Amino acid sequence: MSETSNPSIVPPLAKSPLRPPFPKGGWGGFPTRADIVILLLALALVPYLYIHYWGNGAHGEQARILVGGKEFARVPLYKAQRLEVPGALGVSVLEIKDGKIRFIASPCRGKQCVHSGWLGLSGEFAACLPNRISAQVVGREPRFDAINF
Amino acid sequence: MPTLTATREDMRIAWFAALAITIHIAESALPSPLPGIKPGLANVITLVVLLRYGLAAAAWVALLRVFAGSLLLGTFLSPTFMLSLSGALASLCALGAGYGLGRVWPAARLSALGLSVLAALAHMAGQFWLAYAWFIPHPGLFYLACSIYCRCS
Repeated sequence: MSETSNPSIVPPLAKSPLRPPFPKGGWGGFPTRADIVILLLALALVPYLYIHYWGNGAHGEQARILVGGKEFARVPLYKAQRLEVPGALGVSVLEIKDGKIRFIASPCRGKQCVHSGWLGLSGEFAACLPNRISAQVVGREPRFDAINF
Repeated sequence: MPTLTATREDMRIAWFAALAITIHIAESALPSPLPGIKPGLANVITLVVLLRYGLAAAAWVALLRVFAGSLLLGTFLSPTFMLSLSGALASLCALGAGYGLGRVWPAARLSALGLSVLAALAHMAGQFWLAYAWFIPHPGLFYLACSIYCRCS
């Protein structure tokens, strides 16, 4: 490539190096109405995210499953899976999905545990007393405390 | 022997890309409280090019900065580069949407201020999405997102 013979490759900035690289036609009505809308939305995003992630009723991270008063398992809620937990009467099936846990099936009569539905918030609890199985959503693990407090 | 001739537009893009790469590298030399967090001043160049010469030139400048900047810093194809690229692509999409909307519907025209806020939010969203999808698939990552969004707003 020849640098000097072709005049078209001389960059335009070299001709007028002092011209400020501002947008064509100036900044034009500098904070436009849409600018203000975007700024307000961006500012509203912060409290929304804080309430969603750090507010009360925070989503739990793990589920504690007790069988007959003893801890059977502690499972993370972010991994979708199905658990089969053997109890006093038979096997109860629990499902974990999207940060929530529920009983799907239990060999008990009333099915109170199944009717409890999805549990996702820290502290929520469902139990199948005849089968002696309970599931409780617990908050963050203790190792996160140094960051949170 | 075939010759490559650079048009005026090519030269302009190269100039602005060189400017953006310089800022990108100078910025990476600045000490940062946390690794990977930087002011992102090179995006100013992208914004100026967008407002002066349109979306295609801005995309060229932003992507050239990501590629050439990472080659010069030695982070090409590393996670840093991937995060940088995903942020640049997301912010380009947001800039294109915001700029295009202003063209189609002049009442919703954004100035440099609104465009930069939009691009910054999209940049972080793109990076967080990639980090979540690829590196750390744990929802705890989003607890960090809100504190970073807070600082940038």
